[in-house]
Amino acid sequence: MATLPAGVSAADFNAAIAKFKAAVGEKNVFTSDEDVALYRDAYSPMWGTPQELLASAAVAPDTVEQVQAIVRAANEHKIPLYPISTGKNVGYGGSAPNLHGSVVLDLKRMNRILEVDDRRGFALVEPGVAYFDLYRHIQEKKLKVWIDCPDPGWGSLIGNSLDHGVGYTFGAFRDHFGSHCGMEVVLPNGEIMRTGMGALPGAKSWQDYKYGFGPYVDGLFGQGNFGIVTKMGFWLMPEPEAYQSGYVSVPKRHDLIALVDHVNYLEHIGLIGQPNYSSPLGRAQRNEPDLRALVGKAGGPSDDELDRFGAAKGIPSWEVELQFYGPARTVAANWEYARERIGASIPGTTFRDGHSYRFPMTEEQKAAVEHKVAVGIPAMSIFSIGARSELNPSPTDGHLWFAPIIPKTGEAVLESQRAFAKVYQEFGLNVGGIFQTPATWIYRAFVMIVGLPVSRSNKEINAKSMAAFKRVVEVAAANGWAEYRSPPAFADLVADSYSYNDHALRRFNEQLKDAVDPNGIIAAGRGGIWPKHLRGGRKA
Amino acid sequence: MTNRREFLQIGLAATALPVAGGLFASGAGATVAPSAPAIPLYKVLFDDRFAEGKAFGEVASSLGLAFHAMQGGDVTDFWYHDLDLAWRAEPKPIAGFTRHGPLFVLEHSGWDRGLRVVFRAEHRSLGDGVIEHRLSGPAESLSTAEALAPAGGDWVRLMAAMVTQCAAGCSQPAERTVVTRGAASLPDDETFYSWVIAPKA
Repeated sequence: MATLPAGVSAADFNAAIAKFKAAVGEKNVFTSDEDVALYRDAYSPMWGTPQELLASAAVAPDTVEQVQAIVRAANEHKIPLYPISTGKNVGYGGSAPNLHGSVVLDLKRMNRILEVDDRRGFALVEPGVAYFDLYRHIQEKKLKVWIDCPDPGWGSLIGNSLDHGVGYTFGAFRDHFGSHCGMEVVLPNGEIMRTGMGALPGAKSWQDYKYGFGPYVDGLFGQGNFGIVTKMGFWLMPEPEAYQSGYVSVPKRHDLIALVDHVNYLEHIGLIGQPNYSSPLGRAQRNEPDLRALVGKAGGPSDDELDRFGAAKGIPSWEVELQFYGPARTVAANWEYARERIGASIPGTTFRDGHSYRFPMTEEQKAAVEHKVAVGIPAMSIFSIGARSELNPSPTDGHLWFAPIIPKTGEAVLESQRAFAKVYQEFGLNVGGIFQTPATWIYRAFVMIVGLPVSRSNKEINAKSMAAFKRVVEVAAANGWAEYRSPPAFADLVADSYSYNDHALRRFNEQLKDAVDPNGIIAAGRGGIWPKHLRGGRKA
Repeated sequence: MTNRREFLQIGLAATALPVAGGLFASGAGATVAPSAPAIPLYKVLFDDRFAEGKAFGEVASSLGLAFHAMQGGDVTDFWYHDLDLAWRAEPKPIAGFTRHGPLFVLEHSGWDRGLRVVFRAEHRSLGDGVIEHRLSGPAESLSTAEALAPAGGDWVRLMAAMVTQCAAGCSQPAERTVVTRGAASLPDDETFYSWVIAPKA
């Protein structure tokens, strides 16, 4: 018998398991050690330690009625459930629960694509539908819409969206929760609720208008634990006629400030999709020992020193890739406009053309695309980046994502680089640093994400990463920054940093939790929200 | 039924290795022959950026097995255009020689279809042509592991034969560690994997 949930008797656990089997069939309830082990977090920094968060069992329904039956049985026997969609959220916990001993409610068998409309531009899907599945459906039906998918594309649309996951095309679509429209939710009491226009019997615009009438409650189910989402609508981007990318390079460190302002303008006015920042000077460290020495000197280099080095070598400080989507003529015109606008503002700016594509593409053309997700093609290529390096000393064992939100300005990037670099240096971690550029998935903010290494064989690495994680969360909070997403092991720590007015937000969420889920059966601890009887065990 | 000598000769014939006297006849240690039939493989996947990967694929090809050479170590094309469709129809066994990433993807995707890794060999390059091989799988399949050491730089061809002839229906998992010395193109301090994914017993 696996670890029982805390406070649950063997008799209650066994009775619930029997009811789960009655609901979904014996073969879809998993209690053997071998089967339950499949729900471990492959990237857990606590792998194989007494602190590792493990499931006690798993149950895999195929219909919403089966989900209801499971929820009712769980309520009756006070069994904590941890819903997952496809369980591929590696780096953020995978399919392991926040509460040790929870029963994983595995929704991957609910994998129906219920509707895709390429005129109104939406899809309605179940939790087990992966990005690859929806992409294949769209390709087979020759529909004129794109998906926006994360890297990698094996995860669930619903699961990724509910964890506030992100993608790579236009801003409105990159925000996967923001681009959803309408949910069906099994509430903790077993009732089915539909949100937005879906609350209207016979609604004809469930996937067209989010808000319906009255309070908009969908946000409670993102990174929350107020119900189990069994259907969700998503807006899809129309297939454009053309794509063009172009690269803009600026010479000096502080040119980043003006560059970000220009790029923000281009993005927020709708001319570009995701901009991708990088640092040519940072990359040059590999081949420039003098630059490495400069960067490594006590106290670090000044911006002027770096600018002088870059000028002497002809290496720009920053580069951004702009991505244009739309009719071929306007794509070309928008790239021309971007060059004129930025070139007139920042001395020494240089430009070069990037990739150019027309749609629809043949399979051969798709295969040749370097960054497939930028044109709505799901990929697994991120798993081919696994070479051992100083940056990635244990490539086979995973990482912890530390993903703090900062303002979408050049000043914030430069400030956060130095603030976080101090911590990483303190812990001897070769991540981040003064050349780190922001991740730009989120439409209106930057993410200064790093992957802290995890090792199955070296517990010192894990201890160091966990200590560093705790420290950077504190440093971030002291600077007014915080994480947008967290592995379960750090959910309490991150939630604790959102402490305005004596944790008013958390207290409000807890009040809701007590009212909606009095037995605390749904995803205890997710989002840092614990049911009343477990709040004493909060880790922060 | 294939005996131990015939089993190893499959790899030998495929590799065009000289039949070094005593290499397979030395019989160091136990001489348990594979007593179960080999797992019928749907396809063999390999990373063709390295000589060892290409050699692995050559053995699969010479054994008449269908194979797929991964481009740039990326499993996407194989997954989307081939395996996902095949596994939707029927979860079929596959084998491969890859880095950890593709194995991680296929192992986890296989779990969703009732498949498991039934044979796994970690090949870690320690530098100067020294490779440490840590094998886990059916005891019958590992009974030939000792032949790896004298194979030197040609270990991968024997490994390919071992993997593609992995015993089906064996319930006794075992582990072995073997070290080989010889020419190697694998990057130092890197780990590669030979593996078989097959339906859960």
